Amino acid sequence: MHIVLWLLCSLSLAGRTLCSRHEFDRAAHALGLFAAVCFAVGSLLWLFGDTYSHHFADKDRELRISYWGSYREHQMWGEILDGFSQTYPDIPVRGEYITTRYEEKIQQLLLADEAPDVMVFQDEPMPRFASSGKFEPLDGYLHRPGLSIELDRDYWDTAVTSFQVDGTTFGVPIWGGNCLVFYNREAFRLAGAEAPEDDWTVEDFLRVCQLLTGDDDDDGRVDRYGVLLPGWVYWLPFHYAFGATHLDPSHQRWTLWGERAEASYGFFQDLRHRHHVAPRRDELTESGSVAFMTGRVGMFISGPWAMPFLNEAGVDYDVAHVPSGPGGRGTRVTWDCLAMFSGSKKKDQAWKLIHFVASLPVQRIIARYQRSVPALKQGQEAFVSGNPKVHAERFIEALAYARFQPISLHWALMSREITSQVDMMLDGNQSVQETLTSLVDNEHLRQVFIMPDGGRR
Amino acid sequence: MNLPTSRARRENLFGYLFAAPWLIGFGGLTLVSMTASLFFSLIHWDGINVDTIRWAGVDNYARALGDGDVAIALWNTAYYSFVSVPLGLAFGLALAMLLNQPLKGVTLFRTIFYMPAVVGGVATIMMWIWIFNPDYGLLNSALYRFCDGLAALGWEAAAGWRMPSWIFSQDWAMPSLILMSLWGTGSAMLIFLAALQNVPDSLYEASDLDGAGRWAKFRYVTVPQISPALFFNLVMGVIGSFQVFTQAFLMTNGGPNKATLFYVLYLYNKAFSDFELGYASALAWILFLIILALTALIFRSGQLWVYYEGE
Amino acid sequence: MIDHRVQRLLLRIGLYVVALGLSVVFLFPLVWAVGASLKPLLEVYRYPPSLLFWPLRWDNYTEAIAKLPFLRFITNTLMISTAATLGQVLSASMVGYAFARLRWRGRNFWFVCLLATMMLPGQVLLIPNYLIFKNLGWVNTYKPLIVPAWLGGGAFFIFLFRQFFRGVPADLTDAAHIDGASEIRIYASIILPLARPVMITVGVLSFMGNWQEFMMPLIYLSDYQLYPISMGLRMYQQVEGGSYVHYLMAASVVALCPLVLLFFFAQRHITQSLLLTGSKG
Repeated sequence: MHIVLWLLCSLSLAGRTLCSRHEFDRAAHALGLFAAVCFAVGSLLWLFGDTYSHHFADKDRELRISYWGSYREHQMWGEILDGFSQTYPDIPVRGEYITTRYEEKIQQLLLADEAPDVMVFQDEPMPRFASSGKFEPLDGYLHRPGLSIELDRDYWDTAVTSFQVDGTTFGVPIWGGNCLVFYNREAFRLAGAEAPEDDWTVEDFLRVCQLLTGDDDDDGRVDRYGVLLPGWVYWLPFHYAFGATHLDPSHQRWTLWGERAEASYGFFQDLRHRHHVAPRRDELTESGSVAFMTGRVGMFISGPWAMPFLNEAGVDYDVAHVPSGPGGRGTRVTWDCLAMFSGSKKKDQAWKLIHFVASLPVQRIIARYQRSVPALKQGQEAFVSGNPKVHAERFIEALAYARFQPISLHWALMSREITSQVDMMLDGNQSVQETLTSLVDNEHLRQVFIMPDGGRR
Repeated sequence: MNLPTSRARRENLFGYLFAAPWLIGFGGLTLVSMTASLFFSLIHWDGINVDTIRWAGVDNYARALGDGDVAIALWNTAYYSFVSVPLGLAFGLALAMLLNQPLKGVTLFRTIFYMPAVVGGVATIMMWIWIFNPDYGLLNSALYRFCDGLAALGWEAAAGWRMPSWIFSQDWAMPSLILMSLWGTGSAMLIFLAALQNVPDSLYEASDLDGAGRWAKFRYVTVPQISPALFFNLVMGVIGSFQVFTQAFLMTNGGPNKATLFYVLYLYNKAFSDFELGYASALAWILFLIILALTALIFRSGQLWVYYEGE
Repeated sequence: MIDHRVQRLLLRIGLYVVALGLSVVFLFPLVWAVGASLKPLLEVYRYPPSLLFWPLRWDNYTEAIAKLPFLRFITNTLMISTAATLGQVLSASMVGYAFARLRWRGRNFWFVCLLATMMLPGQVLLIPNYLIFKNLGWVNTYKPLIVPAWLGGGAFFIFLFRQFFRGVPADLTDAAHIDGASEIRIYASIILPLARPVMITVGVLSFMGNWQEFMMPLIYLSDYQLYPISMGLRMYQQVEGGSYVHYLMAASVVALCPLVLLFFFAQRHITQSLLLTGSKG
């Protein structure tokens, strides 16, 4: 409508110029006035038309689902939503692809009550966002006839518990993954090392690292390293192997303290400084997959999401179970879910979508894209068979000893502070003891966790 | 007798008329947002759930005064600002003067010099991460080759010099970012160029007649004539450098070991990672006061050295 | 006599050398980006890295563009940038003039307010702004990206115009005042033509800024079809374990070409001589 008015305005302006050139002054004047009025009204319509419809009209909008990722994920969701439209042709659905800063945008949308009906969501921020009251509790929907989901029976247990806050279910898991040791088969062959056994230990791991590390051209600089040191989160498998933890099961008490924590972080630091099987930060600065891809490191720790990129790049690699240690064996697992907006006006339709994505056919699609393990147990075959060159079934097997991450309301803060101190430790600027002590003394952390010395502000 | 008054009134009216677009925008949007933000600084809130709002009064401000990280962040930001702004101005002016010469192909040169500002964004950052790579990045490769050259010329010790690890080293991370900022002085350079073009040739000719040398011409003709632009770039430089965020967010994330923890990065983390919007808002207003004070200082000093032709 | 000429020649050579040297430094990123855009994915990360990799993989360009609705993104960006730039140039010059030459009550106070708007980090204004725009019903439209540009367009450009307008000699406008010309007349016939270099400068800076802007579209747009290219490019990033750098660079290079061309043609206008006092040669 406003466009029509603006067109009229420009036409009148043209007319006005014509008239004044031919000295039809009064006509020019009138046209000029008319142009101004058209412009003003058109602009007002443009500016405030939406305001009116936002507050008074009740537009029937489509069902909206938001997700993140690269163009591959966008493609995958395109497929999934096409399938949904075929199954439910009477429900118009729209995918909202948020290309970056996902949580920040979801937060804005939640606050303004403009959130999509369904949102893909990670486990780490879940407690914080669930506490906002803007996520719909899903327990009531789980047993709808024809649309029921048997969480405990059909889905991996850590997947289910990841999205239960204080006993209420806020998300239905759709995919995830755990961390295993990726090893470069080519590098192993060159070094004469054998593929890791399923039950290898931390000592075996160290020996393999040392085999893999070498200075090929005798220039004094190491060309091949055993392993790339990860961040503290990806170090968790080794952390668990030493019997250490970060938080107690209630996730309120800080437990990164004592002998076991020192053993774990001591090993962390030693790999680089004592055994020299891991490169220092300035010796190798690419990210994990990249260094691994080029053969500069023989092993690194990651999850199934690293596989598509490695597959596309044509690297000859495989995955091995994490080594066990004095504390047993464990690895971290992380899941993503679908959550529902509590202010959604289409909750029934939203549930249909959630149910659809959590069902076997879609889980198979997810498995095919290979970036994560489907949350539905039955989806594992599709996942394993999708990557025949790699022992992908080990991801499934590792779910047996995978543990829930130390997620709490303060995940981001905890992660930042630990990363900061661990970076210093790994740079050789402070000892393990100092690292652990400075974390316990950290003023921000003390405000939110109960420290081993009982202190908490 | 009537003329001045009615003319003054007319000028007053037109002043408001011409400024109307901004006044509307300010009153309707900016002022409301800023007031809301001021209000946020006086409460505790996580930014998602309105039920968690509790009154804080000046608690957030008091907490900021005692927060060690705030001190670190302020120091980092001030260090960056006080080094990069003068350097950036000098470099931008030098470039603009170079581009002001009647060299052949100067049009092409101007386009090339402005390229960094055009490329911008994530592509630039990725490229800089590569350039700064201590192992095989361009910077160190060139420097090492330079050292080898020096060694070949007889300065043998040069062959053994170690180059810094740039953004991966605690001591060199900030200088690296400052170096990056110099490379991106496109818009300042452009403004200087426009200002230099504005300087009437007649002034240069007159000073020639007076026997002025190159430096004298620069000091007594060029600088005063472009002082409005210089002033602008200085003020913008200070205001902008205190709010640096993107580079730290995308490249270093505040590290290593908080060496590049800029104030706004810290504020952002508090707001959107730790869900302490109230505290973050208080931090923002503290920064506001600091920048306001600095700008006021610059304006005061400006009365001494800025010369407006129209007055 | 000869000495002088030699001196001038040496100076010119010196300047050329410096200009060429700097050009290499400034061009390097573009060269790197183009080089990366022509490599296969694995080669981008090869150590030690090289600038070019043969054979050149021109397919990157066709593939990168095919995977995104590239043309639509560019069209969107063109629409937004043009509308916003026009608004900024027109309204900022008006407001800048008001602050520079017109005397009106409260002018200094409002100028302080103007500067103050730049001093608060934008991150804390995200939420209030969003609520305002939401209540106006402007979410998921281009209005939050365009309308503020017409309302002064930001303190940066207003301040810039103010600086330039203050440099216009008073005698020009005084003469017109005495002749009884209205303020609008003075503005349109005298000031604006003089301000051409500044306006083009602002136009260029504004267009570049709007083209690369991604925070505002990120927050306010949720319909994928409305995205500008700045958001489209992000689809090639944040892949676990790396980015599709070759596609990202290819798409970026294509997205940048219009800007480079724009600047190349615009800067000639920035530097045209102007007749300030009639004595500029």
